[in-house]
Amino acid sequence: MTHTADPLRGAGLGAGPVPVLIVAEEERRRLAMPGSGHERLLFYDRIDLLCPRLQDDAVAAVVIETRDADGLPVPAAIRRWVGRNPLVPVVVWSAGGDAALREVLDLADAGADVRLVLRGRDDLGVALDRLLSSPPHPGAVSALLRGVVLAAPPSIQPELAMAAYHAWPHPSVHAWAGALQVTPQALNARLGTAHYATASVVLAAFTAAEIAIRLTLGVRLKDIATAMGRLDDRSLRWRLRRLGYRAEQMRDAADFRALIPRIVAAIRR
Amino acid sequence: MAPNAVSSLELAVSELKSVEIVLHDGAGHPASRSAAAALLRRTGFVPPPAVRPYFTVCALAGWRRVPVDQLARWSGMPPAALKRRLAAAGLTPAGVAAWNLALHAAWLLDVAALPTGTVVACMRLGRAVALGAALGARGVRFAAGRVDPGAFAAALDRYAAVLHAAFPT
Repeated sequence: MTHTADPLRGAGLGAGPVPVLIVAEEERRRLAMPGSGHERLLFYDRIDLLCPRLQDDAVAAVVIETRDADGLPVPAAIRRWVGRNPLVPVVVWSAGGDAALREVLDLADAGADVRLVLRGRDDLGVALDRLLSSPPHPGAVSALLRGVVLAAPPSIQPELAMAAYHAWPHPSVHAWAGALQVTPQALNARLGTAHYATASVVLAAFTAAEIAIRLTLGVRLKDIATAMGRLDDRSLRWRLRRLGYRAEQMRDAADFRALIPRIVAAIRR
Repeated sequence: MAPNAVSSLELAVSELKSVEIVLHDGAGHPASRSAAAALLRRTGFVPPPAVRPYFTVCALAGWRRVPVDQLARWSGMPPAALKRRLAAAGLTPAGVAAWNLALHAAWLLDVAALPTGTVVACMRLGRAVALGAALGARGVRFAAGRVDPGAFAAALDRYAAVLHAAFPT
């Protein structure tokens, strides 16, 4: 849903087809219009048609809604498949409701690289164009969902999952709360009830993870700051410092993994 | 019979795949049309022709509460005759309407993922407790403003089983 101007490009999608399970007819028509790589899109509206296609040959990515035309849950139906194909991005087009976010978490738990596109807020066509032309790196979302959000009490998991998707590149408590259709004050109250720190503290910690993963992959702090629209890197250093790290300490994947428990501790009250 | 229902019925029953096109724009939330389409795709041909129009009307109009007599009129069947024919299958007109109301509510909450307040408003139920009652009447669990994931599909399975038991082929 975000990932614009990311200095860290993804490794690129495979050359295979991209099955798209979208029920809304008008959205399917829009996506089917000519565009970069759109000839790779294969449209389905029922899970019993999508599943055999996933088993056939290697797909480059899959785009789903959380329910098919018969109302059957799609994430649960493809859970085993994503477990066997963790490198294939799964784009979930959803309104971002509580149940949908829990299903996104379940997919992440199965090992999926889940990209969330919020219906009514993000443009699925633009997100797909970006994915097909120059796929953005998944960033720290998967690690945050598995290491931080799934370790949190179930009552607050949907809110934290949404935070993971709002931490990069322009972290905003307002946007995070808006996506959950609550005010920032109500979001803080929910976090407080679950004994979590305020929304700004949580989002700063999640953004630190996004900064850290880019540092471990060799991106310069200055370039990360530019991608975040910052004039300099001071606020980025501040975020890392709050977790007890300096930018120079982020060298490899092990350094990034060591950051996750710090985030878990930092966002608890 | 309501003017829109006359043309709807034949089309809805004979062309269930494209049933969305027969639902006029004013028919509740746009997601309700998808709910009706899913309902009719799965169960549209289970009831025998003699009572099928009533089931079709219930599926199309189940996005809000409608008096049973009105549903019967829209389906072109005298309420007494409808009641008698359904009783032979162990069903009642009100029971069928309640199933469809619950299924529409489950769709809006589970599939369309609409907030409870929006569902209450677009189904013209007035209060959340009425929504809970409509769902609970057909065994759909509704707690803290949510239904279980897959609630629509599970409820539709049970409704289809009820219809198959009532109208064995």
